[in-house]
Amino acid sequence: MSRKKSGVGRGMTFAARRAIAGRLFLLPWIIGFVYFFLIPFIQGIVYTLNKLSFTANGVALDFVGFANYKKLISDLDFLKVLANALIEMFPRVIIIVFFSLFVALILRGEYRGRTLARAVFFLPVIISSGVVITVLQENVMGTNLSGKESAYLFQAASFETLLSGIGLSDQMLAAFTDIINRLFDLSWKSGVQILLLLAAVNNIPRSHYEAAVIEGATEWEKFWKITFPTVSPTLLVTVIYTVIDSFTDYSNSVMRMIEEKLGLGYYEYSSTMAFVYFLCVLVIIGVVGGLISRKVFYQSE
Amino acid sequence: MLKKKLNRSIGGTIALFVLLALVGLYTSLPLFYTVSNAFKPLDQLYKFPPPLFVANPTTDNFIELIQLCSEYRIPLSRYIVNSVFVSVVSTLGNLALASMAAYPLAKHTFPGKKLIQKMVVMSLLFTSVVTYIPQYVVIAKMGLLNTQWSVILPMFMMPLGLYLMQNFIMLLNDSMLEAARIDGAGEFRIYASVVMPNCKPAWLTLIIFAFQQVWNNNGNLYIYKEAQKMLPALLSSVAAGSSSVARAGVSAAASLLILIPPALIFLLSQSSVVETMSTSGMKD
Repeated sequence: MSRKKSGVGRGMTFAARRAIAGRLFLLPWIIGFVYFFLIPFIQGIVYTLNKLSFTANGVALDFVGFANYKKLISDLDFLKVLANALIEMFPRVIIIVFFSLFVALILRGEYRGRTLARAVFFLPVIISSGVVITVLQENVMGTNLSGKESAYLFQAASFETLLSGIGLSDQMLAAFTDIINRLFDLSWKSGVQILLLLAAVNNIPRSHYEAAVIEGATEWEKFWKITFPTVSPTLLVTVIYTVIDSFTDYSNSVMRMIEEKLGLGYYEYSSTMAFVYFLCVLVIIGVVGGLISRKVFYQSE
Repeated sequence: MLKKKLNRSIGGTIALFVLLALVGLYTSLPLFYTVSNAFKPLDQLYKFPPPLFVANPTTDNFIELIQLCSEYRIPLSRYIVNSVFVSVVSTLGNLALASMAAYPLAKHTFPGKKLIQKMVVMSLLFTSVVTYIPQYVVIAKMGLLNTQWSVILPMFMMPLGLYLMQNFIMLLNDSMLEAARIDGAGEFRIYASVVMPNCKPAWLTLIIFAFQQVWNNNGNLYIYKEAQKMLPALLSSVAAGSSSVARAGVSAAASLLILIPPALIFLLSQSSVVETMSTSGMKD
């Protein structure tokens, strides 16, 4: 197969023409990627090796080598927060992914009111990612929360008063509100995943199930032999998305720390933090993705 | 087809739906508040705990909002036009770029493909915190500051869209593409008339994500001219006005209005998702 970009069209093999078409398809995206991601990203890494000062002409760099990284390694607060965030992530991702799959399986198919049912699980995403949430916080709570606690907004407050009215003990109350808080947090963070899995579940050809029923498969077998393998590629996507989402969420303790340092003007130090954090996440995604993709089943193969 | 009709009892089904309905109700509480707050008179807005239902609904908040906006230097219609323009162009651009790039990434083999795929995942995870300043520098150098293109162009390459499309196109059956190729279809033809129609659920989902993201972007980072700003910027300036107590009602009304377009996009695209799916079956 010739891969050289020689003449245009004529005298080329079919495969070569296809390869060129493929690259042309990719080109616009690549250009955008280089300008809006790759250049800023590399520049950001360069910043971690320098001391920044902002002058009238822009940013002035003063090379300091790995000083920022050395400072980071001895920053016990950061290491502790980082370790906690990494550990907390695992159960969280597992629960969110399974919850999403569960909801997607229930919401699938055609029935009356399906759009409404889906909307209920996705609309929180629309609300929580905009300016609306801050307005809501002010109105409902009468206080101005920092905007990062969006998920903790509606949690206990109204329910606590409700439950204590029934006459529960304080301990029971605490346990209850804890469960509710978690439930709320998870369901608010599952909107995108549910939608992704719904698209995948709905893409399974009906004929597969029909064939299975004729062969006498039970529901349990249908799930494990048809549904699960067919959605497994999307499950992988969902897992990676969830990992990324929980890492880049601004309510995340590491992110808060990075933002705090940024706000204090330690730009190069917060860049270093973010870069190290980013590397950790990348390793996790690599390992998790690698493990899962072994089990993933692609129909076209 | 209502799934699980073989060995799940009716009672179990009902229990499941009730459980899910409860969770659903609970998650939609904020939405409920957004709607009910918009119709609450001022004295009810500051009750604690906040009342769920409105005792005597009023449209005063909306009237006040319109009055307030008419006092602004920039008319409300300007913000709306800006918002719609930015959101629609960004969403369509992202859809076009992402799906076109996704097709060869999913179905072709060429050198460097693995590398590009890895970079997509990398950029997916990258937060703006680190690229904050460099990105500003890039945008400024391109002369995009104070134009809406500073919001639109970066949205074009939003990696989530590409990642999503790539993963869904990968699921398409190769024999379908082969058949088109044998019939003499060019690559663009295959993309437009085989790939895209067959992953409609994926790109309808992409439209929801992209629109939702850009609609909520107030562009404050790169746009300083008030006449170029979008609706969320107006909402935050309404909400953060000097007398925020008096404006609580107004901002509640504005919140409700600002939620409507993304909610509509969601409802429209989701209600057209299911119908198209049954056609994707292939006979092997």
